[in-house]
Amino acid sequence: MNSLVYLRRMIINQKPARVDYTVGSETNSIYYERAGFEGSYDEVTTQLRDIFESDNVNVITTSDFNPLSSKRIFAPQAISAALAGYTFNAETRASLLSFVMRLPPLVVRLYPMQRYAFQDNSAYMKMHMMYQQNGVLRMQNYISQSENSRDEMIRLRVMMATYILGLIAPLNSSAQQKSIRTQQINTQRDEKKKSGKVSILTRLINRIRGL
Amino acid sequence: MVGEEKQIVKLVITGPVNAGKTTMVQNLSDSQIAATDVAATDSVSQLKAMTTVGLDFGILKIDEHLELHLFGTPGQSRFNFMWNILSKGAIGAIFLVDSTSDDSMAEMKKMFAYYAEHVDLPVIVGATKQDLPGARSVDEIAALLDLGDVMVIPVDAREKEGSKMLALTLLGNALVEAGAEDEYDDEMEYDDLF
Repeated sequence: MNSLVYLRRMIINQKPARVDYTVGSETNSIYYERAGFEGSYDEVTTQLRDIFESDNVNVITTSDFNPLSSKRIFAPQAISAALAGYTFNAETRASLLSFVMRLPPLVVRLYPMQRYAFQDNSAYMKMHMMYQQNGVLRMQNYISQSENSRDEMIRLRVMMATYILGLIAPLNSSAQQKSIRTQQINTQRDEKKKSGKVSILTRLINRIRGL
Repeated sequence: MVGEEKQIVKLVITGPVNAGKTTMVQNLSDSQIAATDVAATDSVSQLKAMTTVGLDFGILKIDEHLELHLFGTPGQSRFNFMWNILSKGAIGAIFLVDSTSDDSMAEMKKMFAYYAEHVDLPVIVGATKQDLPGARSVDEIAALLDLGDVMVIPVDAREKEGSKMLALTLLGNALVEAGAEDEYDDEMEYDDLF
């Protein structure tokens, strides 16, 4: 689910950019400028759904942006529209769950998503309540507490929306500064990762997706 | 220097006779599988010419350090005792059931009852032959077999894609359980996500 990472970074950066993505053998682009995606409501919705499921996404930050159209869909509205009724197959579900397992303890920001017709707003509110009660949100718990497969799908959509729009962030922001590590620590960590059940399942999923 | 030990995990594919277990093992393996098919002699011979008497076995290499070993069990409940061995080191089980056959349902019920009582692994049920006349719906199968929360998914065991989707659904479920059980690993790398 690298596409989620790219979309999040682009939206948080707030700079004009072009997203190139490949679906099947076809490569397409969508422009992002002034906090919105260029295109009509339907065009942006379709393109964002394609981006979610694309394995090949690239964001190019561009200063010489030449808009083809004056239509812009504000990012929260565009993401809400793309996720409205969005369903996914077992392969995408497995990718999303693998992604969820990598998320650290989180803080959740409250944002008026209902203004942008976010269909899963009540689930988002519950997620925020869970965060407030515990002082931290473990997305793994939030997803595993799903009552059924439909509920799990809703919660995964909430994860996608809040992640892409920057409404969730690591609780321990200092952890982001851990980029300088010794080779020894990295090696120990790799060993630890390899042995964990989550790591094993994630590797199995990635391999079977590629069959 | 001694090489790093290879980790092996098992996936068990089980269910009544003629549901597509051998084919699914083949679909998910990247090595030549060991099949133990012999000519069927009893009532099974009315269903198909050959049947599995031992275990179907296949290997899917995941990476340099990990292999998935796939085991397809014989399709009769009298082999239930094999679970004691098969469940050790297994990450889950896929049951396949022939949606068109009452005999398959009855055998499946016995097999699943044993499994529910003796084995604690993530499980999923694939309902095969859904394209044939007389096939029961997945909801009917779930009710008939008294499967509770266990998911039943229609699958064409002959198609690789169907086998993939069933395995991915099971692994997704197992991942959710594992994620909820495990404490968050503070050393885990997530800098690239934020």
